[in-house]
Amino acid sequence: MFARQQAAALRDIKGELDGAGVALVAIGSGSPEGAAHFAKKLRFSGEMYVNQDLGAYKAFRLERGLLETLGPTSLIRGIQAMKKGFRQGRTDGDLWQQGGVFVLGPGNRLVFQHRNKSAGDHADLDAVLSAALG
Amino acid sequence: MDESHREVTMTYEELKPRMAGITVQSLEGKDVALKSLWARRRIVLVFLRHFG
Repeated sequence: MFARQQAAALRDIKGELDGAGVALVAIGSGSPEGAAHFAKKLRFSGEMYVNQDLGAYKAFRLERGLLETLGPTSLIRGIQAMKKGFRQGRTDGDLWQQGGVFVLGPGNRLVFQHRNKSAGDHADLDAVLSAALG
Repeated sequence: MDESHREVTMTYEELKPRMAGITVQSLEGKDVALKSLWARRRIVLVFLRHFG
């Protein structure tokens, strides 16, 4: 559900990223088939990759755990997302792994980083856009 | 409690050695070096939770 919410939000800024020559790239923890289904269902037109051993998530020091997924803040965000019409679909991937957003490149540049502290804690898209287009 | 984590920030120099040998898989099943994704371009890289 939170991944759907995040993908929908990113879809909204893709036009501005495209206009600036910035690529939108997503990595998921599930199967390639699950990623393809997810991208089609959510009309996510960025590049999509999977990382089932979570090595990339670990490299970026992203959070993973029970409390991060099922804590009270996550539950409140879940209710808020449901009120906006987002629903949990079939799941594919690591249930306890949290996500994040980074703006990188070209080359050895890391200009924005946001690690989700808990489920539904998404990056401020205005800040992402500002970093990406700056 | 789930909001009380310390904030993690990294420099690229700290990130670089952590990415050594790490690949992601394209939807066509091809292994792609993680750092190659932004070697020649700027990207917004989104780590998703599980699909669903």
